[in-house]
Amino acid sequence: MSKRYDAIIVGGGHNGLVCAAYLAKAGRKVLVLEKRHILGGAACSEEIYPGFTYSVCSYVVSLLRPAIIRDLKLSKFGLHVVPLESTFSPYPDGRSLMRSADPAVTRKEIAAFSAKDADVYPLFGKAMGQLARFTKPIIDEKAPDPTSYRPKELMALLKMGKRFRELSDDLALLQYKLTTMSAVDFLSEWFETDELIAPMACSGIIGTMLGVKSPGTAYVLLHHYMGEIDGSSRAWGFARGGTGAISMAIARSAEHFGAEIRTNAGVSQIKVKGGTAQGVVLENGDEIDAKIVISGAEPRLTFLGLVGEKELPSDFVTSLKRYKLRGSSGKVNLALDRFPDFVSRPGTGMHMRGDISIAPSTDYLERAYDEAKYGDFSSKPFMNIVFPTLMDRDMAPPGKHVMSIFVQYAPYHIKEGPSHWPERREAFGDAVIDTLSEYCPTLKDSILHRQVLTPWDLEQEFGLTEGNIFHGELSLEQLLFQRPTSGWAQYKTPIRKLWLCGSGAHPGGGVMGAPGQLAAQEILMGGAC
Amino acid sequence: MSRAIVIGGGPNGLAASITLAQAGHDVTVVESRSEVGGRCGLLHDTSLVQQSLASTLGLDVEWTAAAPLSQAMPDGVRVIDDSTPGVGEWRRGMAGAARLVAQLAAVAPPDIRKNASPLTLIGPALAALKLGRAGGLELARFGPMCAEDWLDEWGIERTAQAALCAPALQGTWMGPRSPTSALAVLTHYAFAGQQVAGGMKALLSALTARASALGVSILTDSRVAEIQIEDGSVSGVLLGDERTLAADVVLSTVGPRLTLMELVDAQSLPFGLEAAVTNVRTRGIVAVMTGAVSSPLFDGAERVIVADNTESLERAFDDAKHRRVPSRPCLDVSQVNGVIKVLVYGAPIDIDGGWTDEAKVALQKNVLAVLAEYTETNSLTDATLLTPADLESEYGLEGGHLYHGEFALDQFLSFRPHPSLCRYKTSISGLLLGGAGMHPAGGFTLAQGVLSAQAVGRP
Repeated sequence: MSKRYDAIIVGGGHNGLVCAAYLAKAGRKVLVLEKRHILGGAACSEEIYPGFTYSVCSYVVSLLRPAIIRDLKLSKFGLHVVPLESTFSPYPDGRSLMRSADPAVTRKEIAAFSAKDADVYPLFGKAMGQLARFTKPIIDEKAPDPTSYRPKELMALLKMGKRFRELSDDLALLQYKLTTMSAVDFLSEWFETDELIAPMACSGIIGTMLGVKSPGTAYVLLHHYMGEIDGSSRAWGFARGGTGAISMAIARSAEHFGAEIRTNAGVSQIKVKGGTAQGVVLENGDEIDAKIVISGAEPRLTFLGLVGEKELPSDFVTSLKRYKLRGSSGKVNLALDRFPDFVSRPGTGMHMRGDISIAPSTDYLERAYDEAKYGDFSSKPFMNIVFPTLMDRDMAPPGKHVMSIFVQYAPYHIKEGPSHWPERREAFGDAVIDTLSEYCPTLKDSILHRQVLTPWDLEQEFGLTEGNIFHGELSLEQLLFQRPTSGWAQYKTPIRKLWLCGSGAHPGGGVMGAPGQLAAQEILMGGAC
Repeated sequence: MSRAIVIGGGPNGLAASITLAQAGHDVTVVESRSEVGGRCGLLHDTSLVQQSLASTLGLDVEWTAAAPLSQAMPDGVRVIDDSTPGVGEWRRGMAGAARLVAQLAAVAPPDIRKNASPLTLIGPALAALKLGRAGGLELARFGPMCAEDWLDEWGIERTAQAALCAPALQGTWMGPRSPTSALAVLTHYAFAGQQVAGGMKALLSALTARASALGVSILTDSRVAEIQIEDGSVSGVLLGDERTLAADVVLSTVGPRLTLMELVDAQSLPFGLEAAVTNVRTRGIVAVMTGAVSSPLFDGAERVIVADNTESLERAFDDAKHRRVPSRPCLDVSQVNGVIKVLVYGAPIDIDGGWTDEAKVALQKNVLAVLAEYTETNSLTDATLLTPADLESEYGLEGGHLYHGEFALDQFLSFRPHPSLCRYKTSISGLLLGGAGMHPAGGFTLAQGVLSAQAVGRP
């Protein structure tokens, strides 16, 4: 019998590490087990090509909770977030649009397309800011459970209802529309310029198998404005050293508080006896016991892969099988010999020190989606690009650059079947480079190395089931009290002493850390370990 | 005696006029076309009309089992019913949720605004409680889903799914892979019941007979040019021929936006009303082809869906989405007494380049080609196609949308067309909205006409 821990955390992704750090900080004896040779899960940095560091998967800090940065003293442990300065959108006809943190600049840029939209843009921001202030507590608190009659849950629901009543009728309606409408329909109520609507709308589809005109995609627009009200904490940005630097800071903090972290330690089974989790079995056969087991892995993988169907109630198994993952995106990382100028606006100015959106029109985005619907990757995909080397010179040798390209759509379920992705990987990479070459013709000649990650690779390498970067579609019926399934949305599971702390739990994906933090809170509050 | 004017002599206009006359109002219906009936001329299907409403209206109609839902298959026509794999279980599984939707559709939606009385919430809340905890959770789960995923869960194969979804998608701007299309399908089947014996023709004559028996006067060939407002109250309507009709109540059954932005002078429009209707989405994606058949197509089946599977529905929706003529439109065919009506899904109002003669010819050719793949079409004559643009200009259907407003979560229940208007009254005293663009969303039910007229009350 190996030594007992208070808690074993399956998976050393950022959420697992956050959870570990909070538990360790509270004095618990915690062991984190990571399958890969490095920590961070999908939030990792790796030197894939000599001298060049890639943020392999996740590439921006999205809404990392300020409380986590503070509580875990992440700045002390090396976290340094550089804010993204702008969003730049080039168009094939040579025009371009940059929205930056400076309202005057943004206004002038938008006015080149539409004076009306330039006037409306700040008003839109103001309305969204008000809604963000209303919605923000939702990602900072566990989801109230309407399926429970416990007084605590009823109180939480009442509190939420009361807050909703505080909104004016207009704002309440706007909130409802935001939750239910498509991103394009929602934005079209404010703006007239398709060139503006398209890049704004695509924040609503990232990671989902939906189009910008699919109902329910407007909601994520709000996340941008939530970042703004987090204010000085710079919730939207780029971490020096890449996204892995965030995970490393959290890991150092966890270790500082006494957590033990092992890499190359894949868990093959979560041991369950009489409906209670006992510990884990490692891939090498070692068994480790603990008072509780917490899984940062995706829910379906956790239960159907590591626990096993026979230990679970049948309705829970049905819910897990219905749980929609359907990854829809891939990633291309490039090592570049020199900076590839965008024809529409050359140089490495402010417009390159943010994210770059290849989303020239809403029709373009929908066409990209259409191809994915019928089992192909987009021949002309939506792309979100960052040049980390413009913000952190240390990520490549002097004068060289790294280009991080998030690509959508690359459906996990291609018509040949997901396991055929490796045969199509390079064709997918070519589609990305060919499309980009329309905007920066010199790109092709400056590529030193190209890493192409398909949703199949994300699954095989990072344990992201079906390549879903958020551990489950962020659709209405898989959010809040229904994430991952109704009745089990507060990190507890039908297996006693087994908890969830990953993105498949409320409030979902992105490098927020919130599921890890909230899970730790629940575990500690209930005295589970 | 109070004088009430009903704008529009379509099904809801007639239903509203009867309800108003029953309550004791002196009612005049103003219809711009040469005959009443509106959309009745475009549709055969009466199976969504609520029988309770028909009896409230005192209509003299008989009810009969709805025509079976058939689907064209390469080797003939098959019926989709409870014996189709998965369909029976699915129908029983959603029965509770369907009952709730039907109950909510039978009354005016609750006023959910902040300062509204909570009383209007009681009815819907009680109805929702009946669904129970498990039922409520299940509705919260599948309602936002796409229809295809939902029906997949029940083991219904995707060819049959297409037949089940096609009728429900006609009132939406969605394909079977759009989130929330499951709710549209649920709503459609919540309303489905028996149909009127003798079909739409019998229903329309029952409506006109009942209206005239109650002394409703009907002005045809009369277009309302303006709803006149004095001191915040309606005073009457101005007709296209400069005549004015004085009235204490004006109930408009044309689209909410059309009513408030085209028929009311902008100067007299109270603050907030324009904003409430500006954004109503009414993008029609259905064209209607009518014709005569000397011998019935599809071996005489009355109601036939022509759609290969959900993917072909989705592709037809893609065509609409990209504003082009659908190459393989999905068809909802019904034929009664030698008259065929085909609802053509996938034809957008906003087609690139507009609905030119070429575009119209191309669409008709595609419709006939799809028909010919599945049935002998020699007996089909006098085919006439109405594009959404024609539906807009000839029938006054805003956006060419059959139901004056897309089915969508934000245009559903209290949000249809806007929380301040959902209970049919407007902030202009005496002006009400009662067309298909109002609650309940989803199909030809007559409910909007009846519920809006009930909101007027007695004189």
